Amino acid sequence: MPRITFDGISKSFGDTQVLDPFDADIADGEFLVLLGPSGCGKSTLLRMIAGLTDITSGTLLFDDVPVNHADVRKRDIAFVFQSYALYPQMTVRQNIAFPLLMDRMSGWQHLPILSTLIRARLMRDERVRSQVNGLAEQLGLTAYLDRRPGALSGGQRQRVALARSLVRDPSLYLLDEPLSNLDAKLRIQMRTDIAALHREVGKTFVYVTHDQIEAMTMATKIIVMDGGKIQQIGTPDDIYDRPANTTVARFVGSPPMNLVDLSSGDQQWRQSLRRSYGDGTVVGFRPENVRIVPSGAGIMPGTVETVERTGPESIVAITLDGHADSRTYARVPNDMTPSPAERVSLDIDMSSSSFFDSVTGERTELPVTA
Amino acid sequence: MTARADAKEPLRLRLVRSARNGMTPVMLLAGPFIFLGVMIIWPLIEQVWISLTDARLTNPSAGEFVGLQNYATALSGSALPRVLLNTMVYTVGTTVIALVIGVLAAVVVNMKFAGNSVVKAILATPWAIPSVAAALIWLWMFSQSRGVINRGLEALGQDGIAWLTSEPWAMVAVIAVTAWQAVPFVMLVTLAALKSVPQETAEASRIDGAPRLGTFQWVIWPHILPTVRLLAILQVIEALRKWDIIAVLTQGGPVNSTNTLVIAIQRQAFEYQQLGMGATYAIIGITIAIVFTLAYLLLERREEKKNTR
Repeated sequence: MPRITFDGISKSFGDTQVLDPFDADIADGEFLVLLGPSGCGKSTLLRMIAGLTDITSGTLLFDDVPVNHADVRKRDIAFVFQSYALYPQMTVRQNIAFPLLMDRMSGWQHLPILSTLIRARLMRDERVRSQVNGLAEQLGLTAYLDRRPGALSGGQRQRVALARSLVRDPSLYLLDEPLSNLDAKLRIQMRTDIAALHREVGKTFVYVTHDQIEAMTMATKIIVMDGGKIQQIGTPDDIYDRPANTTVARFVGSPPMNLVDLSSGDQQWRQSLRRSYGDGTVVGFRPENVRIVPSGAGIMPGTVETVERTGPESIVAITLDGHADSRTYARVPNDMTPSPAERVSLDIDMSSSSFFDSVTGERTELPVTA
Repeated sequence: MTARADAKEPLRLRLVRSARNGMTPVMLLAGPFIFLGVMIIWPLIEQVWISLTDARLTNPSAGEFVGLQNYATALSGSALPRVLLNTMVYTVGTTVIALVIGVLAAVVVNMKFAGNSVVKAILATPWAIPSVAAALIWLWMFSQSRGVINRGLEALGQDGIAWLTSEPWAMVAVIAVTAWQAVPFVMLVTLAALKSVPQETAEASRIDGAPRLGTFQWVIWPHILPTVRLLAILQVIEALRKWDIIAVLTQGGPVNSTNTLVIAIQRQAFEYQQLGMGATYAIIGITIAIVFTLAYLLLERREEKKNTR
């Protein structure tokens, strides 16, 4: 059960730097999510942890032991691939048992014909049978044990891939966007299942996704990545309530955090905000911290663009005066929605707002005066 | 929609409509069928007919109908068993050797190493040489007194071998040359299959604890197996109709020891001028090829079903 330490880890392919050096320390038993848009380097980082991609510089440590050059097979890890990567010619039973068989077979036993005979003998082994049957029961695969992956649905294949990774009881689980090929309903169910699994086995999980809902619901710790850089490391609440910079603020949340740059524009409401918060400041606030009030009553005047009903509530898109190029979103109860083109004003809970430097985009802590 | 509106439909829609009516498939398939009929089926029927006559090379179309007499003669004589045995040894020998060496070469060439593409190009050359030219090159190399192979053996202190004129060695020589020419094709096609091995599955096997040989056995081999099976049937059929290499190297000798079906057909028809008997041998050969092909197709269908069950 390793504690994972990233000590100045970086990766480049030739001249292209895909991951800037960074340090991080992940405690044992953590559910770490690597979150970021596609191409941000998160899958590369996961493959580096697995040993499938070599590390350009820095040291990766499991429990303070450097593992940069440790063989993939010696790392005691499980890896669930986005494509599931099942063995198509093997039955579900053989797929799940595969890691157990590999543990028991020495090198020369993989020779053709001989290996098939040895596998047949090992498959009859009582411990192999009971382990495979137990997992199949746990994951609802008992009825499919003698089918091949080609005859299974996406969700079933996903569960076979999970079972195969669980069977050896590894100390570290690595999952690369495992839910992205599933339909929405199944994804929500699997999300819960995987989170429950983590609580049950109590091992360290590293989970890669570009879906921030997955990250927020499952993680105990999130690393937000963008453009090969680590943007923020923290708990889901840290990331959501106190984004480290405007990149994180824009990426997390649906709709994301509203950002209002005070450094330009000469409307009266901007000038008064500037007096309170400084003129090089970006104010960030979540859509749920916005109240829509009659024109003239709040602190930011604007015009309603669209109203989207999501069921329990509505998302209102507003164009602030002098802010025509971007929209500000408010999450409001259904019975309090304004109509499109209506003039309104926004009242914002400044105590829960974030402030960023308008040049660097970094978070700044301002004394809240409003 | 009325019939009159149909005429104004775009061509594509009209094609779709007539496809549903069943005319388009017939029209599209007519071309290949006419071609096959003229080039394959008609000659085949004629061949069957000739095999039932005593036609000679001097009067090809004036043979008398003799029923199954040619078949009776062929099957009861002592020549055919030897010819069939030769054909089997030659076919199995060339197929197994070409597949084993070709697949191994593909696996090696698929690894990353310096000069990889040069090696690939060199290994591919035998395929580019016309069979007769290749056979001539080997004819010189096999020469008993001046050939490079016997020179090499002598340098090692061994006696030279009468490669093309002594009993087991003539067959060894023709098999070696045929396989030598077939290896590059096997290698290139296998290489293409190796390139499409799903990387994530290969990586999964490493994480599951498989050594290199294990990854080959459980991931790579099952993936390329359908290709290897296809190459095997292609190679079998190629061997069943290979004529030029044997004709140049041994002409079926010595004492019929490399006399395969195709060589026997040519001898019967053109040396002994027994056109009817030649046709009989040809029909026997075609029957064997069809049996192999059907067996292959049945096997493929079974495998395909297996993976979705």
